[in-house]
Amino acid sequence: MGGGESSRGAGGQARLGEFELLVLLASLRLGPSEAYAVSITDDIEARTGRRVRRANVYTSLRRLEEKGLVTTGLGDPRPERGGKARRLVTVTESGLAAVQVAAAGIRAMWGGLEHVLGGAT
Amino acid sequence: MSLPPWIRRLVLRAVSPRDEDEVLGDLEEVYARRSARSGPIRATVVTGVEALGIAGGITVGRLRRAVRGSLMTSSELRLAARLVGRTPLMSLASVAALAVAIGLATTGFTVVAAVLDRELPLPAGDRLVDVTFRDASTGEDRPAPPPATRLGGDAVPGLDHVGLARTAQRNVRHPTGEVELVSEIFITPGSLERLGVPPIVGRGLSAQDALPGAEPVVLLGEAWWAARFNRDPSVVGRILDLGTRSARVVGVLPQEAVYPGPADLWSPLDATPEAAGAARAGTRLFGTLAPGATPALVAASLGALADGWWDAGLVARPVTVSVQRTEDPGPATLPGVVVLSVLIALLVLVAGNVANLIMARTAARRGELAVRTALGAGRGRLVAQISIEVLLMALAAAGVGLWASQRVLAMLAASEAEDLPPWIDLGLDAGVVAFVMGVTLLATLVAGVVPALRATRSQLGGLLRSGGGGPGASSFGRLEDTMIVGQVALSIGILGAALLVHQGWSTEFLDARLGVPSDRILVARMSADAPLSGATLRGLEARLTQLPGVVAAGVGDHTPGVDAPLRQVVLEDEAGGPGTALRVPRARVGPGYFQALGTGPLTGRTFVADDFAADALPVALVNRSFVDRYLGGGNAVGRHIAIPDARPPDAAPALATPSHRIVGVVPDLGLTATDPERAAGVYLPLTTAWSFRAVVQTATQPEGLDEAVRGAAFAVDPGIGVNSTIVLSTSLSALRRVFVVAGWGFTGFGGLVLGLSLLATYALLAFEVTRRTREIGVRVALGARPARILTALLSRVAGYVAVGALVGTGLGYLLVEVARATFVHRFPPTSPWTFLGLAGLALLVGFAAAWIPARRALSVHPVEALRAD
Repeated sequence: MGGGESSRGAGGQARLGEFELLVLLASLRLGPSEAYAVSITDDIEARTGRRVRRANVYTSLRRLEEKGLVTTGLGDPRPERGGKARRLVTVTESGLAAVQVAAAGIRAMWGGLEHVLGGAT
Repeated sequence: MSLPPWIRRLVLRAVSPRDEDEVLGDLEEVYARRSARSGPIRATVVTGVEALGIAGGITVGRLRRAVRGSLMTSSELRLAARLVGRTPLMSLASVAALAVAIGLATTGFTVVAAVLDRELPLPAGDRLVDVTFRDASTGEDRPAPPPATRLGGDAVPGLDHVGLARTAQRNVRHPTGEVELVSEIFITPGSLERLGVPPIVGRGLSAQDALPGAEPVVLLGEAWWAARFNRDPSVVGRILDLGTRSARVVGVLPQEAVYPGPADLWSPLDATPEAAGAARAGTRLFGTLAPGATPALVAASLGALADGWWDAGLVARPVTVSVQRTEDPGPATLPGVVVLSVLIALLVLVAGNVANLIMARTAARRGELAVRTALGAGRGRLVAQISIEVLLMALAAAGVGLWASQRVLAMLAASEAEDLPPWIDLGLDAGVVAFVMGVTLLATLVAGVVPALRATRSQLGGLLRSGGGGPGASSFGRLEDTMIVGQVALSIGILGAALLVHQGWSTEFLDARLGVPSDRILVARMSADAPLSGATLRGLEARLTQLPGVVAAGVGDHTPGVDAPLRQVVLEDEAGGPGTALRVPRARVGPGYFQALGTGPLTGRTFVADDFAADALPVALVNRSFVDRYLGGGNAVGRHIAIPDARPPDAAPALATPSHRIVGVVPDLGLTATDPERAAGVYLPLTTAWSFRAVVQTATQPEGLDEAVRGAAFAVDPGIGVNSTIVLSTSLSALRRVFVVAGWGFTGFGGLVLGLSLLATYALLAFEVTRRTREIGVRVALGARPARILTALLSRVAGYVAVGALVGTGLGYLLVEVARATFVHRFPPTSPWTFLGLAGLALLVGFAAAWIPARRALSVHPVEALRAD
């Protein structure tokens, strides 16, 4: 379950597991007003085509919150949820920095492999 | 659509209140979406599965956080389980050894705790005391003397109540004609109330019930009331036919009425002087302590009273008094503690052996441990990981040991159900569980933590540089060497003593035929509620002889093949000298006894009817062994023996000791079970008896004669109860079986210790080979012959056995002498060949244990050895 533990890399920046990175990316895309477990799950499933268990999303969000990479808070009650509120996710500065580091790392490793992978991003 | 309630309940059980809204809300949302898309059924299934996953994930997450906070992590647990499984034989041997030790210790603890921690289910149980009178000169227990039976409620300082009780067997004849033998307790009427045992139906006993001339009444015990009368309350008022009397049922006592024991009937004890004088045999005195009083104070008070009785000539012999709380285990305390201590010591010994195995296994992993150390694992982490392996095995062993212990105790409780006091509970309780956990932790400490600390104390980092251990002294040390030698010595000593005990109890003396047709002789134990006269006993003999199929019948107070009690006799000097005082087994028999055993006199005659007359001259018979031992094989007929305790107990001290004329010599008829030293004995006429045996010889197999014997006894005197019947050959086999089982028990224990020494030897040599793998490889590469390497390893085993055999032989001699002195049995002379043979066995066992590691040593390839760490 989960996407692997974060650890500290050089410079003290948190290193992200693969699934944690996906959760953070989905949270950034959805924004603090729409990012919650259900929408994050839907976004990852839609974009990656892989089946995602929402239990894993909950676990990852707890872990990310413990490490200070996201904050969560209850929104307003919604009728389609039986009057219950959503727990909305906001990526913190640390979380954003961690995503940038991870992205930079992927780009760095991607470099020079365009001819193999078929087009850089 | 709304989320199904069962999904809601499932989630609410798992999530914290903080997360309720989030998780339930998410599920509501996706369920509504799925219902709209795929229908409610599919939505329910998919969402239900999802909810299960969420609840499970939350639970596992909590467990992981909890485990992470402790010493163990899930990865450590998995690693420990893998390592245990990597060496299945060693692990299995360790678990089996620990299971046996934990099972034995738990069984011992349960029994000892039940015996020592007895608690009577009575409100006044903690104040109840038992009074024991003993003959001041011989120390033998005596029944309560007549003056004691007349003590009133407050006549003894320190007791606020004095009671009397006597147990008996009673024939009850039911309206259907069936005769049933039941247990009866006579008790002073006020005692039940004082003990806090009110009746559950009807009324209890009152003082008026015990007065002379009062209507006979009786209470029923709850168990018999339930079994016989289906708990029908209308039994109150019914008249029961109790053989010698009829009594009206006035009430029912609860099952908590367990003092002085459970009984089917409770009757008032007539404590008037006349009845008490007649009924004193078997009557016991008890009381309840007054506030602030102690048993010592009561004993002093009663002791002063007893001295007064002797001074006033109210008792035939001076008596001493001891008082003990009924709940006090008394003399059972020290043996119980000793037994438990021995079992725990055995557990520690077993755990020590397992520790050696762990040491050997850890030695083989020193490289791995060194790598973990280099990667940052602290010593504590390594010790914890090794200890977890042992804890896993110890927990498995505890489960098996506890299960086995409960099975054994259940069988014990079932087999001894009638003899076990009702307050003895051998079941599983919190104390036993706590003990099991405690010994499991102790085993883990000895077998896991200690060797782990020793294995990790050296600089494992240096191990990587040096390339492993080299030649030299074993790091097992003197402690392990001493343990192995000690176990070898213990096994040789115990096995040697066991073999000799086997032999002693299997001598031809035990197996020797009594010369009687034991498979056609029925022995019936009988008792009466009043002393039976000689005429009644002879009438019983005559009645039994008239039964169909009966060849002859007799009565006596001894069953052949059972040790008869030793009594003092004085062989009178024909020349008028002082005579020879002897202590020999003595039995009292009726005129038909010897004929019933199918034997007759060797010289002279046996007892005849005239010998039982009130004015008959006292006579006696002696057996062949008595003539051989004390009369030099000469003529016994006409000699005289004096029986000091043959006087009536309340006779005046000045009455002369009766002199009995020997009128005949009979064969040895089993006055002792196994000891030839106790074979020489004396027979006297049985003129009166409370409790005795009827010996009935039949023409064919005597099974099935029980009912006829009961009927004959009842016809002679309805007060005669037949307690049990057994064919004599079965009785002799059962007796022998006890000795054989005890002998095998010793042997089994010795074998267990030998097995442990086998484990220890294997562990040591496995460790040696592992440590010296490189050295062995180099030596083989340089041309050393395998035989030399093998010799070096096995010589160590021989050294252990040599020292162990020397110590074990001494131990074995000591154990046999203790057995000889304790059981007063004649064992054959202790033979050194027995111990030499056992030393040879131990050597073979040691070599067998060394075989696996030795073979591994010889198969070491030099190249691999040089690569080994």
